[in-house]
Amino acid sequence: MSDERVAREQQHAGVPLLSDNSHNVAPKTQSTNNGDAVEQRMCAATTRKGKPCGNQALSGSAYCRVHMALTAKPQSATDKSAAANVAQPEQPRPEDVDDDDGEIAIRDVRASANSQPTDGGALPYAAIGQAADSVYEIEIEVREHADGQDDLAAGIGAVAASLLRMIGENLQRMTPQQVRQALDMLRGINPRDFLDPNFWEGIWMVVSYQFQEQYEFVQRRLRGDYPIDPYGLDYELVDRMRPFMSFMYRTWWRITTEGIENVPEAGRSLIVANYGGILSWESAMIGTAIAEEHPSPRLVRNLFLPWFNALPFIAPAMAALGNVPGLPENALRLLEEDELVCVFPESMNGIGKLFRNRYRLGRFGHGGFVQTALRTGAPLTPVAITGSAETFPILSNAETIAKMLGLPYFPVTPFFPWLGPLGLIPLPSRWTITFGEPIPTAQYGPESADDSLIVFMLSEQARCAIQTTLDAKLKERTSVF
Amino acid sequence: MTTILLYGIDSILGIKVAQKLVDQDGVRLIGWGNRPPVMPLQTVDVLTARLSDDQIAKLIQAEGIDTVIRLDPASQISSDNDNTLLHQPDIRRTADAIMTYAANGVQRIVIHSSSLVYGANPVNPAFISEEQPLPAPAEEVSALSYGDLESFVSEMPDANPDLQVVTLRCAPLVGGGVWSPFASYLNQAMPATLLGYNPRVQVLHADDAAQAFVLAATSDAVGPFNLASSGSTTLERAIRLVGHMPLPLPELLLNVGASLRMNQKASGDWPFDQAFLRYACVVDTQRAGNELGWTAEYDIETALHELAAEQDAYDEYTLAEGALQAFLSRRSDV
Repeated sequence: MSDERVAREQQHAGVPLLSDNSHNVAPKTQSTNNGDAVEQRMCAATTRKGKPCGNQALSGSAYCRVHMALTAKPQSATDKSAAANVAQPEQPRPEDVDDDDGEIAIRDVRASANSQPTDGGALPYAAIGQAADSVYEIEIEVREHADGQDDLAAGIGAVAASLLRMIGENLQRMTPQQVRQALDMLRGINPRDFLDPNFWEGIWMVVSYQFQEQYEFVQRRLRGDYPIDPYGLDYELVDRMRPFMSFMYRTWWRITTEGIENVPEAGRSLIVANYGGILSWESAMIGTAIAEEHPSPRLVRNLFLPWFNALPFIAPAMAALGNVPGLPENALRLLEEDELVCVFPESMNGIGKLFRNRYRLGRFGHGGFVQTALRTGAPLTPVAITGSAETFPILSNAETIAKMLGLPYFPVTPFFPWLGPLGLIPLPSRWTITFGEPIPTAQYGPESADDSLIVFMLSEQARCAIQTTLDAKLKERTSVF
Repeated sequence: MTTILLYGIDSILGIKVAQKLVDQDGVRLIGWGNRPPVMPLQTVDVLTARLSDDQIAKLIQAEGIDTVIRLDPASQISSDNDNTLLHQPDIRRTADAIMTYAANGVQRIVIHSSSLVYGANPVNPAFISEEQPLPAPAEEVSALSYGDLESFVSEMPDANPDLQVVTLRCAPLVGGGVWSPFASYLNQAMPATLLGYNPRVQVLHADDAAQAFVLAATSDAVGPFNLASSGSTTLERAIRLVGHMPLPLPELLLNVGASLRMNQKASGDWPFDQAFLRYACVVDTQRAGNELGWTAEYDIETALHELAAEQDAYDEYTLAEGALQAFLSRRSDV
């Protein structure tokens, strides 16, 4: 990449420009408590000011947490699954990366952040994460620079860094348009000049802008001035939940997603997946995987058991997050509207499955999901999820208590009900989500929905595809955690 | 030339329907109500009387009426009344009147029903179509009284093969100055909701409802049709869009308030089945679009904003007072 283009990118994007400084950074050493010297690899990236990054490199990587996220390159499917264990907001596209001369340019995150929600209302989550990482990079620079200053300047630098950290965290709760606005305000800030009034003016503008946005958010909620789709999906709530879902996806369960390319960028498709735990975390994580990993993120409409509709607080929350009661009429309508629909055909047999039966798929109902796919010509995308069964290891089902409470089942796990609500905290097992090859249904025609033989055949085909993938992934798995 | 008898011309919805019908070619309109219209209507013959069945028969035969539009009696009672108690006799009277229409040569009857007739339960589809069977009518629930009426009406064509019956299942009416139980509920300062639940709701603007009645009276389509504004929203958001605050109450407190007849003070005024505070009852309007050629001009947000703007305009007394003042001032000008 030419110097001119680099400068232009830097000027317009307002984001850091990194260069590989692996050639001029010598490994540092650090003494441990017992006096042994341990070699400590430093991050190989250079900050936008041309200084080597002062952070420790991640294990197995030449870059620190921030730069690893910013410099990750497209990898093969096998490598990608390993790389997904590291915080990695988005793979830069080939045209965004030009490392012929050793420089790595970060694409304009503002342009991505400014893009409109996709058809299903999904937002460019990865772009927002990347924008936040850009701010974290400035924070790190400020901290580094403050370390070499006197007490007063170091104190001011620490405050500035803390504010930048707060700004970065708030960015993740903002809409793409708001993120773009905030990044515009940060443009031109020189992290080394935190003693300059201009630096504080810029920081103050962003902080006050974010406070104002929060205030207006509350006001909008009180006025009812927020968008809801006809199914009850609350777009703002989805945005607010995004950082939490991302935390569960990347940090809590360290999910590896494979075969994301099997999810169509547009058009109808019926995702068929296996259940594992008490609560339907699988559906949330499938949605997060597509939002974070897919090149064209889109919203997933998960079908949940209509029984959940009777539960206070849970029913409105599920609807607000885009889930729809699992009725044939709803599935048919969603697919006719070219939505991406996710169904768990094991139904109640899957969600209350005992730990000893984990990853052994139950019967796929009467094939109602296949009939819906046939009527709409939607392909079936089998999805195998491993790791979820260990989040709530159900040892037994207390049927008597369930009947007394009017519940379909009452799970007994090593922690529930013994620890009360704390027992509902899922265990941090390591998950994999594998999207299989789509099974086309259009060639059979809508009339074949009444042909029980075709319905059974396609149902078994989907079931076998998931079971085979589950068995293979379980063999590959070295540890539950 | 089609002669249409519009029952309910004394309501605001009746006025709106009449204003649209008089513009139709080949239509002669006769308005009928228990009270005088709340607004002056030109070029419409208006009969103000409480007619018995034999008098209705005499009217139909004398005027050669082909089509009858029977508007909801609920749109003709004020918010001060106890809706549940008043509704039952009116539904019964409507059924009797429909039998009289059919027996005296009326070819087409358009009946005002409610989308709430489907009931609220957790296994309702996201959008209920007309094919969904209606639940058995419950006792002392105004919304489900429509169920009695619909059950009766559905059997009419069997006994009268030449009779065309159209049932318009309207979502709760708001806007345009029309009073409805749901508009009354939303107009409270703090409408009570059920803690832990936030069902989706629909509304229908009075102007859209009036247009649907005109289309139903002048087309050949028969059967039930769902009508609602485009879009749906949650109950909590609907309350906020009208400019009020929802008051979430535990079910126990709601029940205690209801049993103590403390609707207004303790548990709010919800003149419909409490199940509608818990589960959604949202209808699919595709059939009305395809067969009646009807489309809603107002989306739900616009309709609710209009309700917020008019606030007290649903009070017929206020409207009648305004009309009276306008009428008197016009004469003084002359």
